[in-house]
Amino acid sequence: MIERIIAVFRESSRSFEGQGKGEEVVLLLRKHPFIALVPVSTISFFALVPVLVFLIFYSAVVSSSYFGLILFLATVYYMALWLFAFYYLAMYTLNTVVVTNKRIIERTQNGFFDRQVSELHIYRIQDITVLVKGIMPTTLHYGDILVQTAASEKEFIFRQIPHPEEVKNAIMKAVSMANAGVKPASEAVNN
Amino acid sequence: MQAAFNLVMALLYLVFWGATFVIFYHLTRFGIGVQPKRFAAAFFLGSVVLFGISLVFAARFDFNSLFS
Repeated sequence: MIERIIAVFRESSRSFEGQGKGEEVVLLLRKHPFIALVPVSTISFFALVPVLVFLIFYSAVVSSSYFGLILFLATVYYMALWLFAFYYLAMYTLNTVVVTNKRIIERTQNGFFDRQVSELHIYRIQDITVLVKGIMPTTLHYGDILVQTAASEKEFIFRQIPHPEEVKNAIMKAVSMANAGVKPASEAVNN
Repeated sequence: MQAAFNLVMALLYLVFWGATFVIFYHLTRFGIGVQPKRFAAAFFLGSVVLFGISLVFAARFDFNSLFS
């Protein structure tokens, strides 16, 4: 029983809502972790503020009759920071691009009550462009992937995806396999 | 005054657990793969610990000492 619970955090069937019969997940993509690191490190900086204030004004704080209140307010402050940190982490982890053997599904979560789901049938893909622009994307190996369908249709842009070259190759492989009627194997580029 | 403080504290905790539920629900309900589940577990455990610490400090805090 305990092993089954722990297994949830180790392995996943990578199933998703609306998955069709015989539809297999080839790739599960998220933005580069660096994108989540920016707000989380800002919040971590704010977490240091009470510690610094405490260290600087140690004698005044400890001898104050407000000491108990200060400690309580500090915990409330940390509770708020905790919520903000996980709000950003949730937004990061819920923004996904799922490549299956039949389609590509992009889920964009802009807030708790603002979700957009776009999908594109894999046989409609005509060409894929990888865009790596800037010092950070080049150094950390992330970039945008532009998926072009028939000329008049919408262009899909998956932003800040890690290792975009590998992802592009995996999508192209899935496209050619789908066209040939072969099921592609699942690849673990990003969990 | 003590009653007002307790009421504010209760409201704060209510908002905290409400927000915790919304984040936890989104991570477990809409997350795909292992990462959201790990985040949800860490988040829930951290929330319980923080709430516990906060509750201990709130219980130890003597409201009347502010006016003495």
